[in-house]
Amino acid sequence: MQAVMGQVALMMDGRSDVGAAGASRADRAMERYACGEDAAFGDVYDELAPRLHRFALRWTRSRSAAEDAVQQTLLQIHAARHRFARGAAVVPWAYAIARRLLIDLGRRGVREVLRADDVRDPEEPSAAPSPEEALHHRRVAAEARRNLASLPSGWREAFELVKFEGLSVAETAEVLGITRGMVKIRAHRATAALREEARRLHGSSESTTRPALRSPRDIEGGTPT
Amino acid sequence: MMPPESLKMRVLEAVRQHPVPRRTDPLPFTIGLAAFAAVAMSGVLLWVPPLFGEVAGLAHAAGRPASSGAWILAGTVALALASTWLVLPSRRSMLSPPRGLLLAVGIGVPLLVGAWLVLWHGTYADPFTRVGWRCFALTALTAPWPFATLAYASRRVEPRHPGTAGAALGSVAGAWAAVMVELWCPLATGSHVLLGHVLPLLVLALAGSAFGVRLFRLPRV
Repeated sequence: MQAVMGQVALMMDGRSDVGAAGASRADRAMERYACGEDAAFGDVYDELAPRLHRFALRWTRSRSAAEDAVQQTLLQIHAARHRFARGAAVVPWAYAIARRLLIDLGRRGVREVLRADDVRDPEEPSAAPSPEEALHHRRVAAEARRNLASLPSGWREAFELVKFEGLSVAETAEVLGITRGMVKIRAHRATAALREEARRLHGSSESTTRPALRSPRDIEGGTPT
Repeated sequence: MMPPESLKMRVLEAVRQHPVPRRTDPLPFTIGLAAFAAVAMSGVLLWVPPLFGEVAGLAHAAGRPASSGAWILAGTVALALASTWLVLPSRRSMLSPPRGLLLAVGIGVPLLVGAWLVLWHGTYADPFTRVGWRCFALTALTAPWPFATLAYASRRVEPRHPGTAGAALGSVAGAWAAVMVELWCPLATGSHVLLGHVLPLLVLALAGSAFGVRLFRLPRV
């Protein structure tokens, strides 16, 4: 959840940590694998697995479910080896497969359990310097997590893929199967909603009384796209 | 947080146990399939109408002015080409175009085919009248061949919206079928076009959607 807060802080500064490192190496490795070099699948794994694992972990908040999703995604990629289009980008495809598997996982009821508020973020540090800071961090993290989770799924997915996974707008559009313009709109709306909540959170942490959180839909006054 | 090393061992072991052949060039087979589809569609046009007690082939459309027929055909071919180009995945992607575009093609192509035909209604006198069931049947019998070709050409795993991708392919296959059927049918009356030329394409889109879910979804591994 520190990643969420860090990202919101970056957004407040008008910056983003979007990067596409590893994408071209993954494409090259997949191309070699599709061409018949069996050993290249190890490189495909090395390039994709950490990113997919992080993505799945954020989605499920369960190590075993995330590992299962990564394994299934990579086996799907392996199964489609003979159909891999020459010169195609493997990263958006891998994310699209992982997303579908995670949605199916969620439909089986896993996501609802794992997204419950009392489940700790695996990326969250286990120890805090002091009890007060730990309590504060936990509150802030819980608020941020709730804010992110309460975003309309379309906004949240676009936001997570662009801001956390470092995919480009074009790659995110491919993963979600929507247009680039729609990705920009969704990510922007999610950013605006989270920024507003972060401002409210920051303001309320300085005062003793804190007003109840509003949902991003109330803030935007709109409907999910 | 990195995935554990044991996961890599598991994945690589599973890959070793279930080898998949390397990639082969799909173009020669795709071209062969397209040629076969063209022959099969022509065969339908030649051999099926006599079963309805109708004249086979181009002779059936003799009552339509040649220029009108040429324009109708050119417009439908252009529509079929454009929609084919729109729905097939690009060379640099393993995924279909955006869902909105696929939906637009799936719904828009049948309507455009109908609108283009009706546009010519009144520019010439229809040589006879028919309800449209023959055209419906011919379209339904002609479309599976281009559908098979298109499905093979886009034989990629589509984890996001396999049904929509299938629906779009169904409509595009219907557009190619419409090219053949319009070579045979000289009628452009609204009611005939609706039943004989638009409705089958909508049915094909629905059928394509059902096939797409089975053809393009993630397989069990």
